[in-house]
Amino acid sequence: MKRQDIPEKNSGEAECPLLSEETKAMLLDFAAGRLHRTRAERIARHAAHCEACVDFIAGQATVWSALDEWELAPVSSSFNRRFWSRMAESDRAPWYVRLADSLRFGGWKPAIPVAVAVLLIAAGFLMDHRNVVPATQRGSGTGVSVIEVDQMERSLDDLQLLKQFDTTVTDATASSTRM
Amino acid sequence: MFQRVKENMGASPTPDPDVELMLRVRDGDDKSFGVLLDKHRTALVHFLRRMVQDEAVSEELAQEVFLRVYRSRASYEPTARFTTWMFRIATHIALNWLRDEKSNRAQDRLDDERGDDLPARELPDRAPSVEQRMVYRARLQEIREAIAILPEKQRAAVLMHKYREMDYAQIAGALDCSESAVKSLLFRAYESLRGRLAHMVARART
Repeated sequence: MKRQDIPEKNSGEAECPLLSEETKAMLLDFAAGRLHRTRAERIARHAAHCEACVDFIAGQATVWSALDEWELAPVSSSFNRRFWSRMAESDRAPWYVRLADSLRFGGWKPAIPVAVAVLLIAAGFLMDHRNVVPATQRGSGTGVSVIEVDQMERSLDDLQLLKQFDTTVTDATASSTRM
Repeated sequence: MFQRVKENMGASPTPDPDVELMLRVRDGDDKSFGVLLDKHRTALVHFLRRMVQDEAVSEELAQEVFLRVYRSRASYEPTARFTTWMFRIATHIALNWLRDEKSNRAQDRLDDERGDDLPARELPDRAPSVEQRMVYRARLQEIREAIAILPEKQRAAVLMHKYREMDYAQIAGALDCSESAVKSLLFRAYESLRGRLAHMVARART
């Protein structure tokens, strides 16, 4: 940030221009005491006249000191021993156990429902299409085709014709004997 | 994933002794890995403890981080600070754990205050009175809740910024986002914390 970007005095706006999107990180660093000395001095000079920045810095200092209170107990003394034994176990474990371990912390859990859904859809599709026989194979199946019905009708017609013919022949033979 | 991490994170301009150690680990020196483990164990466990707010889980996750660091030693390329890479893995693991446990986590976990969160050096020579301990616990509870309420990425950014003193570039590398995104995350997180913790100093002064 250039010197002219930081107004020395509050220009009277409701909110300080330092609290803009571009410069807010600088104020965070200032409040944390991590800003370069030259920049920190400029901000301090500006803050002396800017109520908004003073409030911001004071509020941030509050957060900082509150977070400082949150201290933690030391790591358990058995950490290293447990780690090395876990590593030895991991080396001995079969590949699928190691894979399961990596999936356990690897963020794959959300993918599991998706994978199950895909499998179910695939299974449903296969079951739905299992009884569908291609048209070329239908002749060899147990189903009755249109051709077979036609043949049956023609056979019945032929039988009827033969029956009529047989009756006609019988009648003709009987009349000729009588004569 | 790690390859992408390496590509995304810029190389550090200053030599990093941890990178030297990790390169030795890559070359088969397990003692150097022991040095890295000793050096970063506390920082990593404490980061994870503040992230997941569970002591036993934080140690388990930290072990998982070190396991992953060790397993990826063969493909390690020093394109970033070692800690950025390690915290990237840690954040990834912590965020996954938090997401997986979100539905199972009951609010009373926060209420399950543990005595072992009281740091040894916080205790003065004379044992604190019951009232002092209660006040401290109440304040600590408020702080923990204020952190726990933050969205997970904001929480990770604040913990790295405040307790690890990582700069924006390092945090960006660990969170796989841009520096401006980190600044935005931090600003929003601190804004929320200012609102929740503002009364604490005033109360302490009175």
